[in-house]
Amino acid sequence: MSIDMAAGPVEVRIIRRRRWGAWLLGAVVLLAIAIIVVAGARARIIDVDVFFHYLTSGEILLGAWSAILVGTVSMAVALTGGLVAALMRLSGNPILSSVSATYVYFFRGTPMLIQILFWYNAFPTMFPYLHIAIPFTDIVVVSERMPLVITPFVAAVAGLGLAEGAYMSEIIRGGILAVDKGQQAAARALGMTQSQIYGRVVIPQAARIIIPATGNQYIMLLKSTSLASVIGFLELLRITQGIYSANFRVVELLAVAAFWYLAMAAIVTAIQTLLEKVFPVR
Amino acid sequence: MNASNTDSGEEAIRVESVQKAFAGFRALKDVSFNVRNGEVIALLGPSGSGKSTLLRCINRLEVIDGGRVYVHGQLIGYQQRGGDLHEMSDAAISAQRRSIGMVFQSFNLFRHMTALQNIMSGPVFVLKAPRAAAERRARELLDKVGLADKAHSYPTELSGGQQQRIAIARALAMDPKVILFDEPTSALDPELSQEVVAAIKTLAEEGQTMLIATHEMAIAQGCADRVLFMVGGELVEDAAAPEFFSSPQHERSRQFLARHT
Ligand SMILES: Nc1ncnc2c1ncn2[C@@H]1O[C@H](COP(=O)(O)OP(=O)(O)O)[C@@H](O)[C@H]1O
Ligand SMILES: [Mg+2]
Repeated sequence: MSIDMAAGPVEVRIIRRRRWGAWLLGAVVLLAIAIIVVAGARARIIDVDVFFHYLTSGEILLGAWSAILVGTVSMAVALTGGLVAALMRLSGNPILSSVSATYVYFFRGTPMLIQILFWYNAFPTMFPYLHIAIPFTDIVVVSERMPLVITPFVAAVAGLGLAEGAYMSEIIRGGILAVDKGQQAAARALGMTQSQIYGRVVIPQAARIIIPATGNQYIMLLKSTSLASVIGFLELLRITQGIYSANFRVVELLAVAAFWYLAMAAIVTAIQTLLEKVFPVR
Repeated sequence: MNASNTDSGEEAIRVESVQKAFAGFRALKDVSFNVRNGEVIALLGPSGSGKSTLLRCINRLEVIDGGRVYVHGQLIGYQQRGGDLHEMSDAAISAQRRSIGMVFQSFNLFRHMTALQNIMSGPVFVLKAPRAAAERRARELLDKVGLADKAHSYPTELSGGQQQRIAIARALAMDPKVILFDEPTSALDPELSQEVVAAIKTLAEEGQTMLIATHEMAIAQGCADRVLFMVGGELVEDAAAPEFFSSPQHERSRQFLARHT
């Protein structure tokens, strides 16, 4: 050994090894991106003025707004339906449990597109008239021809909301099952009722597990509102297509649509991050 | 150790011929015993002998198949009308549980609540006590278990021994007539379990009625007035603590003591 132990404390420098491979890989990727961007700019694949002109045009904003509206109302339906279905499934009551399982099977197992078409086209022919009255009284809540009740908006919300509810029910059920059984036992032993056990103990802890997946589903749902174009609902994609089929500015208009979907995704991501702070991992 | 309790001698728990089976497997076979007010009972027995099941039958976390359980003279889970027993509503059973505290082997503190919120949860949510009063009482209890500085800590920020002391405080916040302990120190290192043993000792000295399933001889020998010894779902010995430790009657009791002392 050549180390001089008596030499006292010597300033020892630590020399990190260079990650040449990582730097090289990064450089290759950046170069590739630069080549594509330059090529795109040379070829003038997108006319920036046209892009900005349509980005905030009235029609497009209306389309973006309908996507947010349908997506959000559908998500509210899905959360409510999903929570009810999850609680039914976990209730231990065999009838409620199998009704819930059947709902999930059908609504998760068929394409959303078919469900939207079903609510708009098939349902009103099956039940042509909607009449809701309170039994044993003269009070009539609704009495209307079904096609007037099932507007494209209603059909889109029914189709998207109920299909999404099936997914949400599984996400919520998974979240609830992930909460340690001992938590429920402790709550029950304190004398909490079943609704207090869920409301005060189980759901607040399941929320942490449910939120990230729900953010995912919400973004998917906002994008899925484009499916409602098949029933003539004026949403973002349909409006965009309408414009470019007249002026052939396909790239700019698709970019505009993509921009607004990305903006919605950013908002949902922000909400999700906020909620994750409200319900931290513990 | 039932010194100061004024109504000591009165019956706190009466278990009469309780039966419990899980899918045909008989976990409790005709178990009967009484606990007087202020008594501290150690429930001993090998693992799988039915101690947890017995405790869970007393506060009806498990529904019994036969027999009766009374806590302070109240029949648990049923109402007697005429010659028939009518099963109570869930709400009525929840109300009965308020006066029966329970402390678990795995603490089971609510993970999304601070220590203080855990202790307040029973009074505020179940008893609908005013928040300010509940908080004052919770802080007293934190002080009592020696954790006044941990009021705003979450369970994950506490050691096992600290969590268990908070769990004891959470049970005490309901002013329970009896507290059931299910192996309160079994998940703890010997060192940490000493803190919990000390907390239980203090309660014993104050005359709190307790039924404690345990393997911890410091509890059984140091706090208990009586010992119940279970084997295979049967209560095989019910004796005053000094007698049980000096001259155990049952063969299995002797074997058990040989291993644990
Ligand atoms: N929920 C349950 N389902 C099936 N068997 C159970 C259940 N709870 C307890 N048992 C069985 O009952 C017996 C007694 O268990 P337990 O009361 O936990 O014993 P101890 O607490 O004395 O270790 C064991 O054989 C156990 O496997
Ligand atoms: Mg046990």
